[in-house]
Amino acid sequence: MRILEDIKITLDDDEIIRLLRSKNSMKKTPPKKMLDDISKMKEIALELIHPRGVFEFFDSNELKPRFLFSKSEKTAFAVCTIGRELEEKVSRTIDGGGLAEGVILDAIASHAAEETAEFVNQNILEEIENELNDKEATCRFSPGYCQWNLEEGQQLIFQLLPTEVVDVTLSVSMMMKPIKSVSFAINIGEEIDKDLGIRSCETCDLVNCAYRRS
Amino acid sequence: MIFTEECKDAILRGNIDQARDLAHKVLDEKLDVNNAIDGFSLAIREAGDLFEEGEFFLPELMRSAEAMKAAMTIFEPVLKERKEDRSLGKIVIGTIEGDIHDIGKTLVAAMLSAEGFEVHDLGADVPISTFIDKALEVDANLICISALLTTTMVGQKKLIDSLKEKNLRDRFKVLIGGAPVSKQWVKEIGADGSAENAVSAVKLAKKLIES
Repeated sequence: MRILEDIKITLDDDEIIRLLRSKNSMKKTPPKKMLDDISKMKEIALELIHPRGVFEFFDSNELKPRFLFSKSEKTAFAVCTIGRELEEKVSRTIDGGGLAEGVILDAIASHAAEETAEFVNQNILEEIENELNDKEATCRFSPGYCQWNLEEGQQLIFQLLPTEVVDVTLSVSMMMKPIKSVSFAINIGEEIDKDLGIRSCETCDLVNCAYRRS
Repeated sequence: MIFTEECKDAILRGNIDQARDLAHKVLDEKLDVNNAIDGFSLAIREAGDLFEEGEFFLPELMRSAEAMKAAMTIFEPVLKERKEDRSLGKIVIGTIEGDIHDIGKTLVAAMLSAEGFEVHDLGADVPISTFIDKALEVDANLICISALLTTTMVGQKKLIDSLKEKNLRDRFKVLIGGAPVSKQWVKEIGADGSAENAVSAVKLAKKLIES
């Protein structure tokens, strides 16, 4: 088991702006006031983001569902989070009437959670390269995606990983707490399905997803 | 600048102080409150359209909603005193039991409120019975149920089934929302519609209540 805590979050303005855009808007540059607000909110958010992640490699031969894992030799499972403080700040801000600041902070939190997942993902890929020579790896894929049933996937990951070390819990409805957490898997092997985990919004059923790219 | 233009300017700029000042001016100068509210309402509708057209970002839309709320907070006691009801309808809204995602639902509630609905926001992780009890208590026209996960969206179906069991299905329109909600799901569970963002939720709510 590897625990990652020294995770540098940079927060890319373009990504935050994308999350705050209407789906119909691809062209418009945000007004200066909004850019200033994003800068201010980033400063606040960075103090409240505590990124951490845990991952481990497992033999794939007994993992279910078989259609996802049958071609892989090993599978890395990971859970990562940015902690609770920022989401609590979002709630307090919105409850206090600061809708605009609240949605900016929430977009920052979503982006930070993805950055954290990407950092953990890169660490896993480096370990595959260093210790599992010549093996191929899929992109990361999460329960609820790639026809992986959310309930089945979350239960598998949370049974196998000691997620208490990163203070992430799973509710009976399979929701992770803190909300801004990401769980995922990476298949590793010589004959893996390389298309697995390539996330295409065009083929995704979640048409109302906040992260959907037009 | 004529008064309605000033209202529009305040709302589209999301200028809370300006909206508040204009509302006070209406009361201080004994101007027509209903005309003023109409002016503000037109502006918030324009803000929604600008968001849908991609001209507004979400924080800009939210600032407009905040400015609208600031003005309406000043008008509401006057309307109450005059026993004037300008509400477009009563809405009970919440995120279903087991789901603690709150922000999407809160934005929808804010826009519904800004557009003139009486909104009762129950928050997140709301039991089915609480939705129904509140809807009965306030004599709601519409129940809005949010769910962000495939595991919790079944609660939307359970709520509609519960309304049917209690012979209340025809009493309330039911609007559902959330990332996993599809048109197929709306049809499958017998909801009255779904919306993909706060602005389209307002438009659909108006349509449903008028029908």
